Amino acid sequence: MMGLAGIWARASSLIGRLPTWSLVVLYLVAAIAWVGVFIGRLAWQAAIQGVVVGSIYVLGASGLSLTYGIRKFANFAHGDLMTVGAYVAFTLNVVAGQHIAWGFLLAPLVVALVAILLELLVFRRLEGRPNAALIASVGIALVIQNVISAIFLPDVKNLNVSVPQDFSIGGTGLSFNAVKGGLTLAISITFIVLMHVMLQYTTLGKAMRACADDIDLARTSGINVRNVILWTWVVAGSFAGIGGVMLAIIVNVYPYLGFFVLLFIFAAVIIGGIGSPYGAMLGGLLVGVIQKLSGVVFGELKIAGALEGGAAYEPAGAFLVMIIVLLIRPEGLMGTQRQRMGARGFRLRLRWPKGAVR
Amino acid sequence: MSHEYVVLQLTNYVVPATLLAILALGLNLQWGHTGLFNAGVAAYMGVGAYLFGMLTTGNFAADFNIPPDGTPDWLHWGPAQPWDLIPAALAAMVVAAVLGVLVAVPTLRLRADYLAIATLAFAEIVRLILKNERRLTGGDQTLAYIPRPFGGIVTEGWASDGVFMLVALALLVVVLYAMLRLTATPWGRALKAVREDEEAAEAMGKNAFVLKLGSIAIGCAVMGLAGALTVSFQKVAIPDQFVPFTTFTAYVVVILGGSGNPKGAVLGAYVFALFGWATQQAKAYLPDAFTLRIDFVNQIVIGLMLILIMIFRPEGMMPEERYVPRRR
Repeated sequence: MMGLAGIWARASSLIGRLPTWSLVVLYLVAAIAWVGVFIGRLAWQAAIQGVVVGSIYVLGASGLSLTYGIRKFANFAHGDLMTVGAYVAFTLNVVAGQHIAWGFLLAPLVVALVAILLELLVFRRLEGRPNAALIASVGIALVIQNVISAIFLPDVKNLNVSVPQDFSIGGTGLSFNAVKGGLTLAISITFIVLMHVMLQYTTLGKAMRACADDIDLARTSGINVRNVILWTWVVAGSFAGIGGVMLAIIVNVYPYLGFFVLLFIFAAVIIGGIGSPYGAMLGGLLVGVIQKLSGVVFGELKIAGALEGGAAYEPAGAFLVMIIVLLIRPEGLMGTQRQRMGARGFRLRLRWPKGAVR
Repeated sequence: MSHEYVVLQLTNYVVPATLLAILALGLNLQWGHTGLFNAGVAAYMGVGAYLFGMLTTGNFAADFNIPPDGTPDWLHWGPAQPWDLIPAALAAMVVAAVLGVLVAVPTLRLRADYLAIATLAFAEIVRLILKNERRLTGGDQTLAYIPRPFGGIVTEGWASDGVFMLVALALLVVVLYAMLRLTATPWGRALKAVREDEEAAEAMGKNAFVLKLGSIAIGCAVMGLAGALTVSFQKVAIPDQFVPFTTFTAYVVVILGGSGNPKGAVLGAYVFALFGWATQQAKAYLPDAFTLRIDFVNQIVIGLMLILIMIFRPEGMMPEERYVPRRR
């Protein structure tokens, strides 16, 4: 007969053996349940929305993480690549009056083309200067946003997509939309599986991982690094394009759509561990759910009179979690680098006890 | 042409340019000298601006829906009695510096990109708070009647604008002189050493972390001052002014002028403001269909400028002066 302590020991040893990602999912489910018990239906609904939004962040974040891994700079124009995808869908769907399926087909192609152009015209010339590339990407973001604004004017627009009514899940009071929720999830999961297959089983994917690990070693081993980099932009760009079309369906279309989403994508990439595509997928899911859940929590705080902003603080929840992850596990959930953090590391960095005046 | 018209036109160009120059001097210390990509410039500016506004208006927020009994709906968290302008500006600088250090401590120890992303996220949180917490900050468009320097002596209108221009120019000279002196000290040279090679600087016995913190603190204080001056000139604080675009404008100015050269940052600000002023003037002469879009064209040019400068002339218009030790 095993006592309570025995069960606890068993459980903790089991938890210790689980991979990190499953632990994170467990914690996430626990967090949803905890908020759900306090707030009720709204929280469960927010969790469903969060998974859907998160699945779009996953598409953006995995591409951003891929290009970061190889190019070693944070691409501030990645969100605007998604905007380009959204506007391709808008042009085809509303201006040309075609079915939205054409958007899903053409947007990734167009965005991949834009990404290749950016690499050839800008980023290739800035090789080995990550700070310069980062600033140039800010410039590219400004150019894309404002070219779109100048063509389409900065009004909020909607796609001409007929969305079926939300169906309620029997008796729970929760609702789910077949297109906005179901289709989005299905497409995201398809593309995540595609990326997994590509990274693990194809020559290209293996070459990408090799380049991300050590680009000079990859070059000396006979990998055509230039082509691999171009293909990386194609993959990242087409994922961003698909993500943009889905954002256009779920939210709406405006020139700053992508730049607003970019911060969440960065949060996802950092939470997952920068440069790790799998971490970015996990991070995207986390950020989506936390964002929507924190919106509900902030809403409750507004009702309680503690805050005036309410759900407007939705982004703050995701960013706060990002900052907490940076504080306690800076290498990200799936990252590999280990640095000494916490109070001891801080004191070491400051060299406090020496009392040296500099 | 009357003298009033001349003064108004002159302040139209000089005041924004001078405020931009002060902001750029703060950023130049962080980005130009220390190589820190601080993407939260707008937040430190906004905090300085709002704190200055709150302290100098003395918990009075203009309420546009004043209830029938005449008392305003809400007051912000400013003091009961308005502060003088100088202590208020100093407080704004100190608080901006403290916030800068608080954000930098967890992020500076990580890779360079993390600082950029964390500060950008922090800036968005700050903007949301400034905008939504009306009882705390006065909120959007309602923190008004912020005084200008010598507000009690000079009459409103062109005279007030002109006096403000002189005050801003005087402050710019003070800040520029301080920056030139600071960067010439051993401390300033150590900052450059950290930028060039952090490990080598550490090996020479410099504490890179503390040096970076100092650079962040002083730079953010100057940004807070720039924010305070901005709202003082406008007389009203607008939270949507402190969006990431403001941050990127400051970067364009510093990079255009020459990263690492305080004089370059000032030159960059005046050249950049000339461009903005010219597009505003051009609005009057262009057809209507085009005036709708001229702001976008303006920003496209700014973006292209960033890209082209980074590719072809990363050192900017006035490159950093090379440090050559004098022979004894």
